[in-house]
Amino acid sequence: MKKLLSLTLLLVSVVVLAGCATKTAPEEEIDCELYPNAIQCKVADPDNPQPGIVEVLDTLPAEDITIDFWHVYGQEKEALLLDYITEFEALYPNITVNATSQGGYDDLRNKTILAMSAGTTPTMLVAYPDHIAGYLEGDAVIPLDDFIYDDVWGIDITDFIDSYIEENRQYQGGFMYSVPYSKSTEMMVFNKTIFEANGITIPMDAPLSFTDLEGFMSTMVGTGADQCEYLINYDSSANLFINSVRQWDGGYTNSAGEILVDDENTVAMLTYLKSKFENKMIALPLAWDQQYGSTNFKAGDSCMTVGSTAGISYNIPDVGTFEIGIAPVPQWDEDHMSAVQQGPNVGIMENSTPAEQLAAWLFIKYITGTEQTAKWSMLTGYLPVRISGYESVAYQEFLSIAGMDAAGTLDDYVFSQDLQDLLGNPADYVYESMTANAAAVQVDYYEYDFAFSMVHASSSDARLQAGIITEAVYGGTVTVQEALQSMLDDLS
Amino acid sequence: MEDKNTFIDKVKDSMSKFTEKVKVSAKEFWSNLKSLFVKGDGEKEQKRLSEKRRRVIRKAGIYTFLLVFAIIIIIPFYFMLITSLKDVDKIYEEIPPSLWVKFKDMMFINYKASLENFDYFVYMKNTIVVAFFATMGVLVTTILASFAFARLNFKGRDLLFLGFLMTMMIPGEMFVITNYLTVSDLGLLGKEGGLFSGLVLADGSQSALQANIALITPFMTSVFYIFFLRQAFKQIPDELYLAAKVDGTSDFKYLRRIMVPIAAPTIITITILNMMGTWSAFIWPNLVADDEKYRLITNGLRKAFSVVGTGERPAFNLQMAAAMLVTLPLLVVFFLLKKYIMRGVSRSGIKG
Amino acid sequence: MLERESNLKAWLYLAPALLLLSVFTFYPLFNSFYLTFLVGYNYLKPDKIFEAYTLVGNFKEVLSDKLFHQALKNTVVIVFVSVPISVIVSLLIAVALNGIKKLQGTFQTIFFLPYVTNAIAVGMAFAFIFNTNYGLVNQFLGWFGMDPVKFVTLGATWGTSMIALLVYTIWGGLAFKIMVFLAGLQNIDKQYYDAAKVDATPRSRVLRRITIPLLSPMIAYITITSFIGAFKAYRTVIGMFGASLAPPGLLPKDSLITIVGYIYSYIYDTAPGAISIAAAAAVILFVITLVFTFIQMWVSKKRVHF
Repeated sequence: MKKLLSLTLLLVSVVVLAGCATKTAPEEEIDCELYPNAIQCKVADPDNPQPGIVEVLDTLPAEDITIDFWHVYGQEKEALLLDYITEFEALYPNITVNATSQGGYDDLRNKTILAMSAGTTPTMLVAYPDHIAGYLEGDAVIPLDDFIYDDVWGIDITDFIDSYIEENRQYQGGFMYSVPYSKSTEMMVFNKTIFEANGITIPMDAPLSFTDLEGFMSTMVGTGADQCEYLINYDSSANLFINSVRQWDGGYTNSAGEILVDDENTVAMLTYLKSKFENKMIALPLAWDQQYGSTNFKAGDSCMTVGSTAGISYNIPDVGTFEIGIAPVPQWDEDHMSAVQQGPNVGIMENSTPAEQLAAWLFIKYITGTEQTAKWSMLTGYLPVRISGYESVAYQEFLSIAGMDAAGTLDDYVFSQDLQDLLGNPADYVYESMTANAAAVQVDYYEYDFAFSMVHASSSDARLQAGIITEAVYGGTVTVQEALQSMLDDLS
Repeated sequence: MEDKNTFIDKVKDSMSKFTEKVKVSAKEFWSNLKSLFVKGDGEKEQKRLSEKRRRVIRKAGIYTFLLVFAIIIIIPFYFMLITSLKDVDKIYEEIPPSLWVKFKDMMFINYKASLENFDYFVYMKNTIVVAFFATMGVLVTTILASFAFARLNFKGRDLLFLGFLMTMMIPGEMFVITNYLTVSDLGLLGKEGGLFSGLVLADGSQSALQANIALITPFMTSVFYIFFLRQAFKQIPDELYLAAKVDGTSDFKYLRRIMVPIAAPTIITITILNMMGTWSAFIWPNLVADDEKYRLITNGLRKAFSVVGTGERPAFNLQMAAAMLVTLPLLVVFFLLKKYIMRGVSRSGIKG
Repeated sequence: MLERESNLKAWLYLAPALLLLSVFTFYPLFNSFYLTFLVGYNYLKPDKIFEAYTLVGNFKEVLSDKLFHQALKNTVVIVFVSVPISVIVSLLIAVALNGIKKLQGTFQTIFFLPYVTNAIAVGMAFAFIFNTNYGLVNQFLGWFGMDPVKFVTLGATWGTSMIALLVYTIWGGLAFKIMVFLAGLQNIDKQYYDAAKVDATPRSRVLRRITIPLLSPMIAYITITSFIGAFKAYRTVIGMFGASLAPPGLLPKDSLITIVGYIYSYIYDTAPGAISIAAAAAVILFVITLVFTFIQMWVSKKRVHF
């Protein structure tokens, strides 16, 4: 007992010591009337787009500048990134880009948080919107508007896809804290052979409606020869939930991090999904104890499957089994169309000199350039972030591969030397091209998740939770009300 | 070519030796089993026989027990091995996963392909360097501290030991943040200021030496192993120590000449366990080694085979092949040291 | 005079370990204690600001959190089921292994293999073992005419998934314990056994009278560290169920969360004050473990020359 007492005393005394070592300063709300120039008080203004928060140098200093770039890429993606760096360094010989992979996205985010605390952050990094929202708790990323609208160094921001801009402008003051970089979306792959056997042609240039899907049920679903056990599989239960909520005009979250699923449209939506789970119109990979539906799609267990555009290669059946087509993801109604857009952006950290920030900006400008984003997309399966990237000669030719295949002219066609240099044999990219075409349809109605970071309830927690409750409803273990209530309880 | 052949011969040789061993054991077991049912004459013979019967049954019981648990324990390793030899499509398409691949379908090419995905030898070199110095550090600090706790009487010994134990009761994740700050403040991360900031490279980035100091120093001691070795030292009877004292042997000499040799199985176990720790470390190296070329093997493995795009999937076969290759040096070390663990100790001669 | 000298000597022996531990273990530990007294602490800002001090505020928050109750319950189940089983099984395996001659090396290698098995392979193997349709466990149960049990797939309950988690945890702990016990058995002087042989002492008696008592420091070591380790269980849950910390379809989310899982979910939370919640939970875990370890030492004091 005496020992315990003295040990406790020791503990307390050292705690007090440790306490002295930590600096303290009470957090204060900034009075914006007194300090209109404080960053917290600035708001994006279309008439005066350069807020003057970041010091933008007029000329690039001549001395050597090294910038650190933290990313998550390995293998082919990293190799391509290194190519870009080599090209960039040839353009700006005094800039060196140190690109380092930090493992997965969570590793990168966790390391950045520690680096913020120690003051060892890189110059720039790859980040999801919820990461940026978190970094802003420490004011560690800078708004890029001063660069974007700069006369010398600026870019035409209207060339970027609208939804991407909105996503990157959703933070305090409406400034753009990051630039879209590696974007993907979802697509629907369908078993063309089996639909044709039933006399159904699925359009590839426009989404089906849920009414269409319901109409297919009696012919397509069953145990007959040209039928599947399920009509359509959704790989991501979270995306199914979030996209459906938007299409039903229901509540999910808002930018303040409030959970709004206690909403009659959301209840109606989930009730509808439940009924479609029960009549086997919609399957989740859980139906087969799988993480993805691709294996069972290829085995003919579902007639259609919805998944990430990056996962197309897994949904291609063996030659001779059946033909596939790739179309946009089905929509509930024309007025509330919604397709998920996902993937990280790139941002610049505050803890760097104006010269480094300018160099980092130039590098961002380079890798998101028209030619570069088109090339990155064709080689990695991501999608161009710029409209001009879509419209570029190379990408248009890439998109045409699918059309030529459909018309049966692919084998005779001679592709441009540029595309051959890039892809080897462009004819091998039929499915990637089909995917890109389907994705291009969805560009007009891309939606993004609000990013927020509250104690134990960030936007990524909400997304995870949305997927989990959808799975629980699918499993039939809970009612719709119980599922939504569980989400509310967990996130507040 | 010749080397390859001799290697294959060696493998074949050891394989045949092993099967021979199993055969001999099986034969012996069988003859023992048969002899149980041979009728004996006389009471004495009967008694001898029943004793023998008991012995054989006991032995059979022990082997069955070990075999059952060996099978349970080996399943995941077997999964790793078999997956490393499969075609990647098979892994995703087989339901249920097959437990055997025909020899002609075995994709030994996976091993070659996995090596092309990451700088195996660079990462391996770093890992060996870090494992060596960290383990050296652990051995020195642990042996000295355990000796103090197990044999020396000093004021506050039990209290201090309790304090050591208490550090194990806080999850390691809590230490990471503060330790990262400490390493940064020491000037090991290429930031200006701090004890070691002078070691930076000319362009101000972290040097290999700084990275290694940051990687090794926090792992040069371990309460877990101090406790372990203290217990091993406690297994050694007090009489030995008292006898040595009477002889006028110094504490350090006693530690070096008597305690360390006797506790050798434990010390070797610590060596293996600690090396394994370095092999599987990835959070800390990822944090404190700025440049990828300073990082350790598990970082390399994770980077080469992690997927970053939503919807992408890892090539499990290559990943497992790489994991097998990463494991290989550890297994070699284990084989080399195994016989020392099982050597056992005979202490005759010490007691004089 | 003599005592002071031996005191000094002891501290010299301890100095290298103490120096390193003070910097990399004790200091962060006390720092964690300190964090529990802060409100709104934001360690992301370079000047590490916080709003106010509190004595028990963070503890109150943790203790009133339903998720923490769930974590506590799961942790306690894991601790009190997995530790006794894995200690006994590994002790039996080690003693058996120590008593055989033929194939000893082979078995020893096999029991070492979990250590070098890639975590992903372990996850794949256990998903296979516990699969509802073709898993080994359900095939085994099928021999006795039992219906397939859903352990880790859709439809699994807290109970069935906990069973799978416990098996996984016990499996994960065996290799280390076997190694330690083997080393401990090898530390025992053969002379004791030789003496027993001369006296023709029965084996069970040798085990009870020689092996177990002489191994008791190692048994104490394994028991204490295993309990402490089990209180910190977390990786096994991730290995078995991934980030959702529960089998699919089981609500609430995080049904199988442990205390360290709870702590971890707050550590890298960027929201101000989250780190103090993590620290408070860590201190609560610390106190629970400490009390339990004291009880354990007190109970075993009579039997173990610890």
